[in-house]
Amino acid sequence: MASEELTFRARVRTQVGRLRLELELSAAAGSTTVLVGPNGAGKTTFLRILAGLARAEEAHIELGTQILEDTKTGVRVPAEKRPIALVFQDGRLFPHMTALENVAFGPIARGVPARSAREEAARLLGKLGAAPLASARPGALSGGEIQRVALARALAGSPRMLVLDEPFSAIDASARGELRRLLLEHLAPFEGPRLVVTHDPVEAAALADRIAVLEEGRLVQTGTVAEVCARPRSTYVAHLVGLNLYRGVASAGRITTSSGSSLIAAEGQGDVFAVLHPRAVALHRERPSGTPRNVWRGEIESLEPLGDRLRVRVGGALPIVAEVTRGAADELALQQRGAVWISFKATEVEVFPAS
Amino acid sequence: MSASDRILRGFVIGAAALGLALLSLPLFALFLRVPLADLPARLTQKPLLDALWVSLTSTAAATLLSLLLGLPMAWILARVPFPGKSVVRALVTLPMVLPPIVGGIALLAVFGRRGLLGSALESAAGITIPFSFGAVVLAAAFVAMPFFVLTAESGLRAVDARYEEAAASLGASPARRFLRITLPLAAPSIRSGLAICFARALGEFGATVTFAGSVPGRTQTLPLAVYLAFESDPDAAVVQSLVLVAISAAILIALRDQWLPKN
Repeated sequence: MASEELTFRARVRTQVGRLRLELELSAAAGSTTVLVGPNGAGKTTFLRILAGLARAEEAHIELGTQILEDTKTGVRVPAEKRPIALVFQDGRLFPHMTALENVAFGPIARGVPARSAREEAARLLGKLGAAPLASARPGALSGGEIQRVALARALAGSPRMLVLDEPFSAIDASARGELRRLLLEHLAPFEGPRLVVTHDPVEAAALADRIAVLEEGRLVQTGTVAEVCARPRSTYVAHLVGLNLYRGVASAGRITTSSGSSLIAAEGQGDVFAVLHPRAVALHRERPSGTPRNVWRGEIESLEPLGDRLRVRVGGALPIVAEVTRGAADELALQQRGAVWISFKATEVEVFPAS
Repeated sequence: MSASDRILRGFVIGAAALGLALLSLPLFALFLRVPLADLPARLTQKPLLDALWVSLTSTAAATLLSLLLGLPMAWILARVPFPGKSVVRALVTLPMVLPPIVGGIALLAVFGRRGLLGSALESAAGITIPFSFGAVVLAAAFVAMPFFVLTAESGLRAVDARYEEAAASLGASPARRFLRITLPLAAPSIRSGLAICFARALGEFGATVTFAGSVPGRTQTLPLAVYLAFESDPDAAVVQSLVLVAISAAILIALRDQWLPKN
């Protein structure tokens, strides 16, 4: 199997300022690994080491059968010879070139004749819905457009591995949904391993086959989204994945899960993920009146303190986690056991396609 | 507005106006002295054309030399960390602040018949540099190259190294990264560095007259011709000066985007 040969493995140990980076990460071909972690955890440094842009004291990096770096044997493939394409945080398009020239740059650098490189670039831009941008300079593009072109540029060199560093961070919220759809659509057919760095739990849940959590230079947890969500192993992970995530079929504003429960959302069609932040969930003693469209009653399963707040797990057909202030919890006289009404607005539910 | 504010305001405006007059009045006066009647005839006189030719070719050669030797130096200064960099930068800057005549004498100390390299060059290869066209070029390069190196260095330094990294990750070799990314992004500074270098080389006098002499048609540049004509034929000196003003103005116009920002 060609895909078997493209498994990516990296073992890195190095000192970066005051940070000790020590981690081992592998990623299977055709799957998306999302590396999450707080600022300063070493995510970007790790990517730079993978790409050959930074040096590590000790590193062993291999992609399939090719060893890209091995400090023990002194092997070090230079950045320009590594078959790893990067999409940078800010896109980092060359400002003096048009979008098309940016996309054609990689293939030309790797020896493809300029004419066919430009044809390929135009084809890729078209595929990513960026054909009208071909002759524009990056200065004239929006954040979302820049990332489209940057993705086309990364794909253009026929890389064997794709690395995206915080692809969402430089674009405004309104363009995120579109970029997420774009990534879902175009990462899936990519045959090599995909590695995405983000600190946004929604993006992580949307894109990840596997999540790897990096904190202070070390991996604290890896696993599928469901595994990591179910058992967060640090406060950061709890914060990160402390979200209500549902999968179901959306139709006419109603999302029905496989268990037959349903919730009301403002958008979505077909097989979707629905994400709801626990802070958007309100708790009540009595049945609430007013506008929230999602209201039901459930049994409290657990109460966990989280900083100055309380995470309240409510069981039922649609298990849900609510986060309330301690003051609110006192007012409600919440106890480890007992029934409670929950409510949240349909507009608080973020919906994105699951396939 | 208080009295002291008024005084300060008057001083600022007055000083600025005087400064402007100091810079522009001499040129204005020079134009008034131009012998308009026989200007066309004088512009085509052989001494002027000879000196203009020596000036333009030697200045172009000195600028090219500055580009070839100065750009690698600028790049190293901008991008490569090494011990003693500040000493190197000081050595590069020194000719800029040195009185040019000292530069001429220093060049003679290297390339003169009994100079550091001059005697070896002459005995080994039969090459004598002083008082040749090559000496004109070297003298001009000596005083003008620092302007290019420092301008290009700051331009190269300003190029975001992350673009070079992006290019590397896309498969570009170091040479391609420099030629396709760094150089184009630093191009405005390199262009203006070349223009400042050209302008400085064109006006060089002290080092040239000391090191290259003033042989008409061979080492006599336009500034030297102006100086010599001034005693014998002041009108010729004015016309030659006018030609130098025109070339300088042309450089300024060519680079108006860099030097004359639109407010």
